[in-house]
Amino acid sequence: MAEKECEKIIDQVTDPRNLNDQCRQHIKVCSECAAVIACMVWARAKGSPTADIKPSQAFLDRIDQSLNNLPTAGTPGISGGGSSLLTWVLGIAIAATVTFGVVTSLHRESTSVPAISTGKTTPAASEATNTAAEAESRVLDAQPAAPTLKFPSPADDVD
Amino acid sequence: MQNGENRDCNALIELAKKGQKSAFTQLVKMYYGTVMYYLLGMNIKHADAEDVAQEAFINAFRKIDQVNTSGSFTGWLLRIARNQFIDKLRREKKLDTSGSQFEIAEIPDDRTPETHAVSAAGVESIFADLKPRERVILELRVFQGMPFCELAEIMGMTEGNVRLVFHRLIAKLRARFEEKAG
Repeated sequence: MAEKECEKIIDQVTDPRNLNDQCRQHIKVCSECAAVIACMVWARAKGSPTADIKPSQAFLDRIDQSLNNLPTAGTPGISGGGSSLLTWVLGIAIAATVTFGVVTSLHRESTSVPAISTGKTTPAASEATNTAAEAESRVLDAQPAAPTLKFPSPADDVD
Repeated sequence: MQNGENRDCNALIELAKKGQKSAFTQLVKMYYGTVMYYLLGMNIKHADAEDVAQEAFINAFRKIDQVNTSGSFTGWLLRIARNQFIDKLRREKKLDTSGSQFEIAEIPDDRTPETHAVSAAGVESIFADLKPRERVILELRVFQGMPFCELAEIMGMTEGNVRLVFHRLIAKLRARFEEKAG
């Protein structure tokens, strides 16, 4: 049996959930894999080394104390209930900003003169233009006339 | 982890999700050994490992709502412990984890020779002279039945690398087993 195949079998054997009939058949005929299985059984029989590591009472007391200072599981300050409040506040702030932006832009559109960009004038825009022109001509009329320069004509000297 | 133990664990997780702190304390008792073994495998002092474990358990309680009982609780818990440990190293500026992949082997060994001797005496003789990384891989694979992909993530290694270390480890154990048997 190829070594790679044995590695696959060993991968499966170390996780008993994966142990299928093909593996079992292979183990029966392959001494290498059978030895590894025996080794695994031996290791498991000795038990996990972590089983001997127990928490001290002082450690458990510290954990209890810390847990008692927390509100409840899954709702610690900002990451639990606080986050939903934060989401609400952010949502309201964003909605208010968008509404303000839309209202402001609509207001700007209604007060600006769009004739320049379109090339067409609306009745309201042309009326405003006419009023401005009339005001300008009135101002020009009120100003004194420009002085007229008079030069002697060359014909004046001819007798 | 055995099936019966898994069912107990899931029941305790559900109770902890409902806010029962005593259920979570039971989980702490069940998983303290695994978390400490994993942290001690990173070559840190026992007292520091306890501090990290404590922070990890408290963080786990905070995030208990995120646990999916169909997944591996051990893996989830060890990921929290690992992140807690990396944060501690960053705070102490002992490790630059930015950019490159974080590996247990890169962590400086803080332990004195006395601490090495004590921690080695605390484990079975079969595992005693294995490298810390090998011991953790053996524990998580053989005793917890953790899949290689999850093991790779927890150990900060590639899946191929974990498989390689595991198979070398199996060969080493097998030789030791045959020595004892023969």
